Amino acid sequence: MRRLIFLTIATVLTLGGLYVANASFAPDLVVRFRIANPDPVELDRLIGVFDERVQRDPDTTLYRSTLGRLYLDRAGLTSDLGDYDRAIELLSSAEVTPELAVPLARAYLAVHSFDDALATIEVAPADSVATLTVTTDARLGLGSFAEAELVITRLERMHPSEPAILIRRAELALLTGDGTRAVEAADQALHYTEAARLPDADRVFYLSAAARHHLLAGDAREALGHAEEAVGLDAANGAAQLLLARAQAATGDLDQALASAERAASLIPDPTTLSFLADISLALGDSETSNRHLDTIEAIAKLDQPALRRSTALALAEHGRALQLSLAMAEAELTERDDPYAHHLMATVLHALGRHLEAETHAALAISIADPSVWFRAGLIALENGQGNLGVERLEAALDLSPNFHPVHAQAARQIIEELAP
Amino acid sequence: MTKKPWVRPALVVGLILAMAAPIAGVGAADHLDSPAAGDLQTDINDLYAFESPVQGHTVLALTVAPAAGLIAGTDFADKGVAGYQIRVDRDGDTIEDLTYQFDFTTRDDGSQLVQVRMVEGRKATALNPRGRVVAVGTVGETLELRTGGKVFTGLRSDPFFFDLAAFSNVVEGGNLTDGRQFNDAARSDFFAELNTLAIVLEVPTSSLGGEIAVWATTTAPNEAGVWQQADRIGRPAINTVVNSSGAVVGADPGNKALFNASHPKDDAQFTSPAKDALRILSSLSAEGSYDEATLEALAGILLPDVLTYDTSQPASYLNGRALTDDVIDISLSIVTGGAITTDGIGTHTDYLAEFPYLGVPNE
Repeated sequence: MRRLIFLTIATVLTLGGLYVANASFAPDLVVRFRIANPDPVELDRLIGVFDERVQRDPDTTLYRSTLGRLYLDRAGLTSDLGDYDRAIELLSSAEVTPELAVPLARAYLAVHSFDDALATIEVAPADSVATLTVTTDARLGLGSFAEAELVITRLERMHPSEPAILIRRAELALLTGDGTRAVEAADQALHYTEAARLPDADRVFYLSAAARHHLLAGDAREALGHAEEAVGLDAANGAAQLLLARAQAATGDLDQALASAERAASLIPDPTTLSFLADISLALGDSETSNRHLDTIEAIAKLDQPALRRSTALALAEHGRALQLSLAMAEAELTERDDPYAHHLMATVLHALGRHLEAETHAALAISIADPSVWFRAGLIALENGQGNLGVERLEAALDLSPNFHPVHAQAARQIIEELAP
Repeated sequence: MTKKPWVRPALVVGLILAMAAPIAGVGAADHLDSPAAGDLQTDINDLYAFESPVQGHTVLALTVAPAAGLIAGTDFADKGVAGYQIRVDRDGDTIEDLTYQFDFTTRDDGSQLVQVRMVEGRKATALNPRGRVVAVGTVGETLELRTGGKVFTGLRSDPFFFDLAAFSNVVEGGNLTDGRQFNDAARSDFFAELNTLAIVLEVPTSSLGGEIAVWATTTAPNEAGVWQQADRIGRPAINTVVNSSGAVVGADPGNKALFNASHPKDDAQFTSPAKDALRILSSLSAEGSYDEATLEALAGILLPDVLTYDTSQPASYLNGRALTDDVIDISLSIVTGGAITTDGIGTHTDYLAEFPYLGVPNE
């Protein structure tokens, strides 16, 4: 067993670092200073060129900032947290100019340093679209939805058909409980990507986002179509592969879902992907493989990466692993980002710890969002607290939102409802 | 009294171009001067015109896509999304008599196909002229032109050379705090090891004419789907200088896009901004700004923005533009009144003695 754990840790580390799926919330609105379709080989070469220049002339700001941008570009391709950290180190090593504020703020967003992102973007022109989108993302990340609403509304007035704004509208709608509007806005965003002639990398993002919103809304077939198109455009996109796996699972094709999830994990072995892979493996009766993936998540947890904290703690709590560590992570999340998903995480951890009354407090705050997994957990907690009717209502709400929202949990919800039926 | 000697105006422009260069991007001859162009693949870098080592032939070279692979991508924009043109005026009326149109198509395997058309006469003035197809082939390969000569399109080493880091500190002033100076111990060429997309024509000089004016354009549809001119260049960085909206020159922010969308024959509309820019920049000298007569004369030479070239003479920046012409050094000398004579950066060493003359891509 020790050898198995060692191997799984080694697998994560030798894949090149730690990764965060969907690290950048949405594609940049401002196309200047970014490569439309970055060539990974050329990026690596240029990183080598400018790395050498920075080593030779460490005080030349232009070279540090250029190298920082290159690392940021590569991070956008790989989601490698190490690249984001290096970009932040380089971009923040000199006075932050208005030109550098936006890329630096985006790097902070990617590693979930939302307050740093807000502080950094203050240097940029206040009314620019780039500034406002970064502000939106930081507000969404921090759970400041009223502020996010104000900024998004302003952006929508400026650019009513802009995919990057519509997809932020979708996210805000989801987080504030309006799943229908979320799907509508995600579809609109996808529609406008064609007129905007966006590069494939951005198109993949919007297809994946639309797939995610359709999946959360229970429209697995539509989600599957979008996810398949996204993977067709870029099979090396780990986030798209994971969405495809989820959509395949939701349409009942667990074998294909397993294959897609394995591809996703080979690209982005982050806790969310590994947790899903563990669930799929379990659903297919392979508990040994499932446990191996959970062991890897436990190993990742020990590395204490803020950007992975939420997904790691949730994955561990959902599987009853390292609960004290998960609790500490959940408390940190709630302190820094008091939003419905932080309450969902806390509810899940407390539920796993058997602290059901405390869990209910957080579950009640979490179910303001239109995410069936959140409603499922809240239902279980209500049942543990002896609130049978409430529990069943919540489980039914989860299934109403999406009948096959999870390869294991959806079936569990149905069984519980059936067992408790009068 | 004119305080300054008559200067070679194109060189003044060469310096000023970089003053307006985006600090965090790549400021070069014309790099990133086209903010209206949503696609960096249509953003023009430089235009060169020089004599070929092949007797009786002339080379016209256009580079686009700033720092391809770093800022812009490494493929040309496809037909339907963009078009690329090199235009030649043979009779001095600033209206093109000959246009080469380059259209690209990306194949399923990711490689690109180029189609070159040659259009003469009135039709040459069209945004995307349709005329005789003179070459079709794969990007990255040298193709023979049916009208004589050859063409290359594809990724090459950027021939431009310049210490952008020092310039950003010294000339733009205050944006960087690293203390870099021109020709100091840390001098280095920002463009070394960077790539650009290039379109290189080598054609019989007789097909062009004797005293010609050359400029290049890119075209793309706007948001409404209407085709427009996305960028243009004659001499290096005229638009970047004349219409710099930065703190130093302070031109109308809308001027740059207007310039890029307009035809050189209408460049008189930019005379006033040109004089303003020259007045401000020449004030850097201890001798003070150019007087009105000099400003007027300089503006009259800078505009219209075309690269004039007497093909019977060797190319040297004012007369055409060779790959090795050091615009920056001479410009620094002029603008600083001799206080700064060089950025300490010499030409690249990867130029080729034979077609397509621009070095092989850095990899």
